[in-house]
Amino acid sequence: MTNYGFTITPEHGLVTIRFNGRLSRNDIKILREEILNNYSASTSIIIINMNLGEPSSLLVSIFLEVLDIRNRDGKGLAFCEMDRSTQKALQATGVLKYALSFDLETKAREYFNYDK
Amino acid sequence: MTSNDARQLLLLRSIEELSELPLEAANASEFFETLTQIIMGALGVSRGCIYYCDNGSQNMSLLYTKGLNAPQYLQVPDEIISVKLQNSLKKDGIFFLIPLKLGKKQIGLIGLGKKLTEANFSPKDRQLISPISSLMGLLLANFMSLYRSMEESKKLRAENLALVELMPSRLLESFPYLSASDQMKHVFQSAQSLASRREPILIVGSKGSGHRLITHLIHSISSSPIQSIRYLNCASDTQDISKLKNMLNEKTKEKSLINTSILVENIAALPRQTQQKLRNFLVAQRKKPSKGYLESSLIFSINGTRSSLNSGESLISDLVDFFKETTIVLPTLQELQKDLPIMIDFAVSFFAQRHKKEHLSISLQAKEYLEKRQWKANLAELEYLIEQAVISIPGMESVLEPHHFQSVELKSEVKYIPLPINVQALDEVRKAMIQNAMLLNDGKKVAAAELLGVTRQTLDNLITRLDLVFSKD
Repeated sequence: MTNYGFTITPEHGLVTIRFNGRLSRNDIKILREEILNNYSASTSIIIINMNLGEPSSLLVSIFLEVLDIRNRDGKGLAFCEMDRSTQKALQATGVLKYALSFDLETKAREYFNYDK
Repeated sequence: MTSNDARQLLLLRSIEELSELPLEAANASEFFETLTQIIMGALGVSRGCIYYCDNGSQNMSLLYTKGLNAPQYLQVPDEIISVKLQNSLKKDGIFFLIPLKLGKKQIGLIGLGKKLTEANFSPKDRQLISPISSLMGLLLANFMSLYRSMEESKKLRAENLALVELMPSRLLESFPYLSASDQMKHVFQSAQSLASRREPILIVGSKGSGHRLITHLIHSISSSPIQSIRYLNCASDTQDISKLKNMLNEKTKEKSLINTSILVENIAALPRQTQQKLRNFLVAQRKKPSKGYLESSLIFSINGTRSSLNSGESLISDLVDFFKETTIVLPTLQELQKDLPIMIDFAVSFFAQRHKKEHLSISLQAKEYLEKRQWKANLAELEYLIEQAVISIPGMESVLEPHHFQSVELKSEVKYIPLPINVQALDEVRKAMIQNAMLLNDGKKVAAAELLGVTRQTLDNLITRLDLVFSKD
């Protein structure tokens, strides 16, 4: 998806979400619909690259919603390339308690056996 | 940065997110959902709900819930969230309550499906929650007020449409302001029942309240084959008065009025003698309609309210009393508060089409401005204000805003300032005119007076006042 503050790149069984900067309210609304309608089921692996991303309450609530749908099973949900404040915010809100985290996107892909 | 700092940063960001939240009453569920999710996200909770308290009620109703089996209504008798209430909600999975306040008044509650302890909700977080809950309360109250007015107008519109469907289409052209308030329904019903009777109808209503519109409606409803309506304005047109006099005179029937629907307007302006004749004519028509006007709808209208007319001039109050069973009382615009949104919508689209500005719409703020405006006059004033605003809006603008109406109001408020009249100069003109008239008529005052359009007596008075001297030969 282009023309928004984010891009979603689906591959076989894996979807990567990257941000182009701070998301507008409308972007968050579209992102939420896109994730919840297409990728929230536990069969897809989601990698969220937080480089250039900025956590907001609404964004965190989307992550929590996905985790809730997956019954807090965050094995298929990974965050990567987070700066310190993003990491702390996701920790404080309990997102990283259930999801995986990696410093680099390549490491996350390797973990899920992509790009080996 | 600690986890606490990060959460506080998120809470601060949530204030920013809240302040950017648009108050679009069209999508209520999305608004309630976003409002709840902002606080849920900031506090790291995935399940939550939001309640709103109706004006003055102790009952709070559920607006939105995510992942919780929250009860539809909550009894909150106190301004403080009681321990009893908190305990009772635990069984529904609600472990934390945030009051939403408007000033000191509690207008709603956010319920969260997670227990917030010292570890994940520090005293600093608690301090931040207070301004957030006030902001959320303010947003919710504003949104609800917008939502209510939109719902009310939706309800009226639905009732209006239902009424419209019941009406034959030709009537709609005659009565565009058909609306759903009880007052207008009453007017409509009266017009409908009276149109089928062959008796004179009296319309009573203050100036500009739609005398002609109702006449159109009656004319359309009546089953008579007559196509035209004639208006006789007794206040301004001498031709109309002479037509009326012809109609009243049994010997000189007014041909142009035979078999037409007739609206006699402003009968209070008629000379007393003509009023008396009209009264007798109408009373006679009521008993036995005369042949020429058999198919006609005879409608006569008086400006004023029924009570003011009853206590006023005896002949008029006698008429009002005599025709009380066939009277239609028109409400004032102030009395039609509920109909205003529909009337405004109609008038905007009507005048936008008339002036070929079909793309024009009216903003919510402008509509609110018109709804709250003190209407001194009636429908005519509403139509005037909207038409002038439609005409004056610049071509590149497409939405009528309050300032468009305000500038029309300002222009209309400019009072007529009489020019200083130079009395001496006027008298000089008068002198010259009289001298010319006397000269042309060889000093004959009767002929000169006739030429000047005044009586002989007036001419004499003027000659004396202006110190004019004419030789007798």
